Amino acid sequence: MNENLSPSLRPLSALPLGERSVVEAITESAVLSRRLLEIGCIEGAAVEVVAVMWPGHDPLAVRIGGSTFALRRQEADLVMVR
Amino acid sequence: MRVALIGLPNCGKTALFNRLTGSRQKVANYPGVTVERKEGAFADTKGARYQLLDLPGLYSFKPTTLDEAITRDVALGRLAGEARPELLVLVADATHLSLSLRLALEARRLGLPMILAINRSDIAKRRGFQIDLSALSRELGIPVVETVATRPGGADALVRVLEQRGWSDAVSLAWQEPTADDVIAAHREVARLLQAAHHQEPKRSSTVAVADRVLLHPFFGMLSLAAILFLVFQAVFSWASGPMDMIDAGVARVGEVLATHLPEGALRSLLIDGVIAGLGSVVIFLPQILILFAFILVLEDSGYLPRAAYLLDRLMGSVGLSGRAFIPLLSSFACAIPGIMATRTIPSIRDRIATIMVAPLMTCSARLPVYALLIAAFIPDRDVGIFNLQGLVLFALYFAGILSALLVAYVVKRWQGVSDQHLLMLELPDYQWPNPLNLLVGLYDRARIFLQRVGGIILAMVVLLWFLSTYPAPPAGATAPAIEYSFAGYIGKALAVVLEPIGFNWQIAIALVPGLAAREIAVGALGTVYALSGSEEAITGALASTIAAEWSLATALALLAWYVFAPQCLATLAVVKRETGGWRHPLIMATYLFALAYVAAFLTYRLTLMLMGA
Repeated sequence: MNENLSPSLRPLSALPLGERSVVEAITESAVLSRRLLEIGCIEGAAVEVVAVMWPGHDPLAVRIGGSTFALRRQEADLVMVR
Repeated sequence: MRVALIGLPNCGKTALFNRLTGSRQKVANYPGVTVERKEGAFADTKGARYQLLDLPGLYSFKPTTLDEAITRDVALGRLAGEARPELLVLVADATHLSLSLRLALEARRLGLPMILAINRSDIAKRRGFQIDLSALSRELGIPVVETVATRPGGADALVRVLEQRGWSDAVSLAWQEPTADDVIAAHREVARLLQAAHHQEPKRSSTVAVADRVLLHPFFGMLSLAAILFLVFQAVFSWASGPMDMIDAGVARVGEVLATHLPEGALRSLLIDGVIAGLGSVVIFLPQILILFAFILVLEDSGYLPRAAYLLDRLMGSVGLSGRAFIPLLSSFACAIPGIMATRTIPSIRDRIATIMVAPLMTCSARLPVYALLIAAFIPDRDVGIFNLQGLVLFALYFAGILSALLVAYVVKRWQGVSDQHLLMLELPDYQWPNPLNLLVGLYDRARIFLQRVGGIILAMVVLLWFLSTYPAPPAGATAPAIEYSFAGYIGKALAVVLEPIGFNWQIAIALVPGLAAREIAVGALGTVYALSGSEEAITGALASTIAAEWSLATALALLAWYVFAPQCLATLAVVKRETGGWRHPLIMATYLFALAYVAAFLTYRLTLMLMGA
């Protein structure tokens, strides 16, 4: 799913607090990517980082579609957004 | 008719379950596993009866946790010993409908008739939610109703569909686990369905957004969490004192009445020294346990708990635990057994084992009676600044448990070696006012379980202890209290040899033995032992003043330190054996807890003696 990523893409974990964006792709990973799909993290889904924990920018609270999820940075790194 | 509720975690499923069944519930475990099985019964207005099963919440029918696997297996009729439900009610959350609908599409392939109940429609509508129920029903091919589980009568629409048998038979399909492509396809289908039903998504609640800006903030969020936990411990002490005094007076009154009406003899001694002194000293802690549970239920219901897990994920991650371990560990403050069961929501087996191993270090409510008794007896009730000194000591004891849990988890994880891929992915549901019905049902359950323990195992142990403490009778011309010549006296004195270095006398040694069955029995046992030792105050229920006079401060503090670790709870060890599938983990657990308890009590005793001597 994540071939030919355009250079303007960035991981969800790099999205500044409060900025809205849209999911472009999910990087494959054994367990994590499946669950991300199930919670609605699919191409075209609206996302927004609503809170970030110190230190290390981990974990993050992310609005995905109509729900809010706490994601570890490792998980948020898999989600590529525009 | 057997009906099962399924839905995402936090969709209001349990509230709907409580609304439908009220207090007619039965909580047990699924056969062979320790996932909580909640079943209740209700009747519709025509008198037809329904057995309602509240299945664990799930995101997908491709399970990643044991909870989810149970729901799938029950729904497919694959769980041995559990009859397959005849009808599913899929509870959806109107405030974010699309995830629930995706689950509904997966559930449709289970081959069971289904009703979709769109819950929380009141909150969603206030935020602009709209949907054409009949269009959605037509598109999905199943009945769709709106429910408001938190309001009386809020489930009437659902009951009406049940009454009219308003569902059609399901198409029977061979079950196939959904693939990743199926999930994506289902999301697309949901988008289409929602458009066809003219769905208007509710706006994000601005209150929730503002609250989260503070409560999820790295600094202010942590500060709020600390304040909340601190408030809980202060409340457990200060709010409970009124009802506790009343119970105390009631128990004393019963003791006096029995004392004046019963003739001298074994029966009188059994009732007054055994049952009244023993049970009375345990029952008195009911208010404190209920206050603790009330806070846990309110935090759970309000949606705050997963946020606490978010805040603590890094901290817990630094010792190798997942933030997901927070909820099982918080439940362990009530009792380690439901806490250990709740670890079934942790996907990684290593994380689960580590969480199970430290769960008994969370101060369970059965330890509360012991702490409360000792604190009341030895710590002056005075204010330090704005805080109550007794509340501070209690907080410190809980904190000691948490700190040692972090250390033990660190050791366990180091010892396990490589770590699994971590999964947090925890939903942070919108905040909501705790539902009074949920709170009442939960507290009623807790009170019932506690009183059943008092009337069952605790009563049995207290009677046994009375027997051991009364016979054989002292020889003629004996000068010491009779109990010193009894079986219990000899057992206690034998054990006291081992426990003497940590400051425990033989009365404590006796009390620790029945405490193996349930920790709070130790208090009841002390009540009985001191009553039989001839202490007037112990008979009238004032055990605290008896031990205040009999023990040194060093002994009391050592016993408190012992109870931070308190290895003695057979029920917990049994659950650990069942959950981990062998004797290895329970044996390691019992050994390490016992070692820590002994060392901690030894250090506390010696240090206190040194400081007092200085």
